[in-house]
Amino acid sequence: MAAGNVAEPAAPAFTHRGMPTLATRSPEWEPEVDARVARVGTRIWIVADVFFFAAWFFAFFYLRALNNNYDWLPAGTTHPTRGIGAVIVLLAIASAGLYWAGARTVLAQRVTARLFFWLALIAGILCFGVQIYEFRNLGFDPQQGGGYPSVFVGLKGVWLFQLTGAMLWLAAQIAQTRPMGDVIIRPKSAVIFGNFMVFLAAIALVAYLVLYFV
Amino acid sequence: MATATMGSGGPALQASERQMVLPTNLLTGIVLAAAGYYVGVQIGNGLGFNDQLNTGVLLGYTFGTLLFLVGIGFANYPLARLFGWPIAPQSAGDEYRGAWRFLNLSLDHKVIGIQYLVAMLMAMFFGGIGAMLIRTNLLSPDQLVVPPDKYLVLVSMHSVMMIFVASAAIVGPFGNFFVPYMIGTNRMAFPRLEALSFWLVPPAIIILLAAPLFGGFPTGWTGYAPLSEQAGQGFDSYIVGFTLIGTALCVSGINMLTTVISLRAPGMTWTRLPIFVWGVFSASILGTFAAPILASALIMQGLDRSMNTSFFISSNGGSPYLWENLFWFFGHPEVYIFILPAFGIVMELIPHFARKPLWGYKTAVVGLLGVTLLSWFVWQHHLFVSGIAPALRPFYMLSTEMISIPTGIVFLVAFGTLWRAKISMTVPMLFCLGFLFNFLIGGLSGVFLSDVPSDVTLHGSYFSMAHFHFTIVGGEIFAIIAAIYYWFPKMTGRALNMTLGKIHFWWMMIAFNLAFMPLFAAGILDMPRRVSTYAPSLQSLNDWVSFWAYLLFASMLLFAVNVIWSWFFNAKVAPADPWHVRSIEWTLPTPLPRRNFERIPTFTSGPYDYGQPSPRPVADPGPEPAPA
Amino acid sequence: MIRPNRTHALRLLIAWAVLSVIGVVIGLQLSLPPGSQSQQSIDQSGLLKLMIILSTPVFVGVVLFILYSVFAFRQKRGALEDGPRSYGNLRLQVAWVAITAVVVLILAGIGISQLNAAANGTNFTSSSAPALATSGDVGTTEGHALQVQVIAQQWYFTYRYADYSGVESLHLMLPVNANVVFHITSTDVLHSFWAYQLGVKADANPGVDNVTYVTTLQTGSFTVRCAELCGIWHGAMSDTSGAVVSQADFATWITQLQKDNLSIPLPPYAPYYFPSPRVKGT
Repeated sequence: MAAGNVAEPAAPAFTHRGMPTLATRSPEWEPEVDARVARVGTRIWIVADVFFFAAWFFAFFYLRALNNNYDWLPAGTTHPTRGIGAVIVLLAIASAGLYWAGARTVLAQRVTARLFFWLALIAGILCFGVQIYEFRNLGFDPQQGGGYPSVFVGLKGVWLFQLTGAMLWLAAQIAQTRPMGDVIIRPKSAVIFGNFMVFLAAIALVAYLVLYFV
Repeated sequence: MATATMGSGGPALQASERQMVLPTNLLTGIVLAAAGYYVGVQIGNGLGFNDQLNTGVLLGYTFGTLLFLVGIGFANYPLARLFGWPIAPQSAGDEYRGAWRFLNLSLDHKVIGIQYLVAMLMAMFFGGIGAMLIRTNLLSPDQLVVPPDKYLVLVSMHSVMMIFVASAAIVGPFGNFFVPYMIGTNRMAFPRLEALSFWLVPPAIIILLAAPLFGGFPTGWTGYAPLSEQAGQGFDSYIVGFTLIGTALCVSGINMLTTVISLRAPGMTWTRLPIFVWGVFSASILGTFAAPILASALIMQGLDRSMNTSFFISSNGGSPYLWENLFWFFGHPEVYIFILPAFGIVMELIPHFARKPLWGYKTAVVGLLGVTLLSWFVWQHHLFVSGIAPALRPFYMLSTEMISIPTGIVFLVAFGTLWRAKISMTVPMLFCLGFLFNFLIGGLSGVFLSDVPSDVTLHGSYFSMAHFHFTIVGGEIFAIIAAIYYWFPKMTGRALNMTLGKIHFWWMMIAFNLAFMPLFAAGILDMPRRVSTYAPSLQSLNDWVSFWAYLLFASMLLFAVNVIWSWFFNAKVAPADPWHVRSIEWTLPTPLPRRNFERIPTFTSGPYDYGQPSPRPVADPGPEPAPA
Repeated sequence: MIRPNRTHALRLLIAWAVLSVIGVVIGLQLSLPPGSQSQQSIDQSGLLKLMIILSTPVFVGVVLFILYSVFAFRQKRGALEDGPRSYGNLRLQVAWVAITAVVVLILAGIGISQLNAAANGTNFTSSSAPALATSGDVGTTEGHALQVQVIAQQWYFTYRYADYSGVESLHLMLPVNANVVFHITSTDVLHSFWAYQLGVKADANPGVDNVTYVTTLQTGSFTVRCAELCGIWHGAMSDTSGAVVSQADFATWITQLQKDNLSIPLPPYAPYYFPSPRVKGT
């Protein structure tokens, strides 16, 4: 039975299902090409992510302007504490900053890099924890509706989800800097991840200003 | 470290090459998906929200999809990274033989293209069944074949399934398969993202097909709140399924954009890019940046239905206008995602079958990019009668009228190419010409809808329905079929029967036009969209439409027979260059080798350089490597 | 035989001119909806006719060009000759783009001018309700406009006459030669109030007071349909009993309605209706 026009390779070049061996590297997968591709791709992805968060900010300002049934802030809603919000933002910024510091030293001193990455990871996990604490101690119940409670929970929720993904990625970066013979983290990809961390921290800051001060 | 060999077995692995091995394939994917669904439902219902059990379904679908992706092998790379083991960014899936390659995770863009082609054709089939059931219901103005709630389930199923198809049916199969060839590279920028964009599609289709099991959803593809919040658990299928499709669009777009930007071969400048690649590129711009907004809006719907937030409930601080605006800010670029690759196909095929350069290439590119840019500024024309501020209407009327200017450039370029050409009326060319006729009608009717006073009668009526069917079916679907007839020999190594192809074209063209043209009249004569009952005076019109709709479906069945027979039951291998046209994919042998180019070519001429006394080759394969 | 460009162009031009004229003449004979029951309908029918007349030459031209090319510029059977090497002609391209731009801008201009001629069956939201008038002239073209609230729900329309103590009716009666202001709202999901022969369509949104206008010119009946998917019986949400009647008939009808409504405890008239309305500031 014909199985498509795509020829099959002569014989399996891999010894484990799904995972190729180092032995089959070929020229189009050169590290420089990969780095250029990753740079372009990450920038495109960050712009797409800007659009993603923009929808939530639009929801904030739109619902606030409409104030349908005077229910933007339902009766009895306490605004979340600015202090806790600030802690969350500062931890996010710290995580991004520590990562940047580590990325700059990654080639020179792997041990220092790992230290900074670990601190960044810890800052990120603390940030996650404080955010969960804030969610459990809100001065309003999003299940009762209201414009502001809905946007607050939604915006912070999706941000937290992306932070979780970033922390997993960071853990992988830490793993890449483990002493392992000839394998080291590619320096350009550190910059790429750094861009994403900065982006997340920036969104956290803007969300903080909008949600707590507007 | 051993060097590359393609012999049997491989060198023994050293300690530094130990890798994570999770045995993953389609079966493990399905098993984990079922387990994930069950776990998700338990967790969701266990959260205890007062939500008519929506949270369970939402989480069940989400976990099910995630575990499906894990089970099929997407977690292998991230986990290996997490454990710090070395990875060579190579293609997985090559160890499968025969048809199994297409049923498992493969990072070969050609395999992904074929997977997409089959998935899209199957989804189109399901959507078509829905259409036939709808038209059967509309045979009588007041008697129904199915109860009215089931009727809306059919309408919603047909529309969302066809939206899925339209959003990916060109970029998925043909973009993924041919863009690397056309720009002269062996790889896509992010093969794992490309594979992910495909493997999100089967779960999305299955989730959508499962909607009737939960009672279906009554909102059509536009998902308007608050009707969406009234709906039962079936609407959760819409939320998750559409989010998956949006994610696939975004992910595929990131891959496609990066590939075209970063991986063009030497000599492949932006002004030599085949116009098909420009079509895919401009659609990918829209897909990458519009889909995240849809995702956000769908998450808001999910929160409203599970946690009882109130993004869209007026009495609780929300607003249906929020959904309308967010949805259409995505929704309008979405329809240009449908048509831009179709423009690319038509403008690609006409020069080849007219054996003339593409007339006004740069203008065509400007047209595509102009449509891309303007499509962000027109979305409120879907809201003309919704109650938006009156001061906004003139601006959006103007922007919508203006977008017909770059759209018209496609006709300009096609005409210039056809002028004094040497036209071969092959089946792909027939479908391209059919596209021009159908899209003309679709486009002109769009102008009627874009003027607010005339839109007052036409909005929400069968006129608008006829408009988008002419543009999407008469336009994009005709272009897809042209592309299938054109590229089938190269993708599958088999030739489609061209006599059946010509019968298919005339049958489909006549049936399509006779079925949909009267619907303009139905709209002008006061028949709203999405209705199961209508004025008795319109019965003969509707019966005529249903009759020709059945014949249209039958013509697609003929096409399916042609495809299936030629692909699987005809052993004759197609020639490597059946059309004798100048495009790089036809300079390669059939069947295509696993590696696109042994040596990256240098492009030495534009793609449509016909009419030259001694033509230069499309690409110079480059010098042989010096002997070792 | 190789004909010069001029021959092909001339043939096409003549055929196009002849067929376009025929098409336009036919188009001018059409009597288009929504008709002439209101000022808005007349404007909209006129615009539709204009668009059909403008589209006809475009349609004819494109179809003619395709058919002509397919016959005149055919590849000889079995041959594989190339066409001439022509990459474009800047003047032609610019001319095409300029002409399409001009046509499109003219259309947009006409549409905008019709919008500004206050009231065109379209709408804008208003947050303030009309003052509840107790009496006065039934909206004549010189006097006060008749305020009619359209309340959409699953799956019928209810009409309240704000000028007449908010009496309710399931049938929409309007006086002829009157300015009418519709206030359209919904109590559950999105609907859309489409009075076909009047040329009025505006969405009904819960918690929103959508305002749209009509100026009635002729007596006669009109159909009301729902134009936004609102659930199972969306298609059945139609009413053929709407009518524009003479001023005297309207006065009789509304007086009778007020008598009938006396025994019904109607909810207070409001621009929109929430199940549990909140008060500003609390």
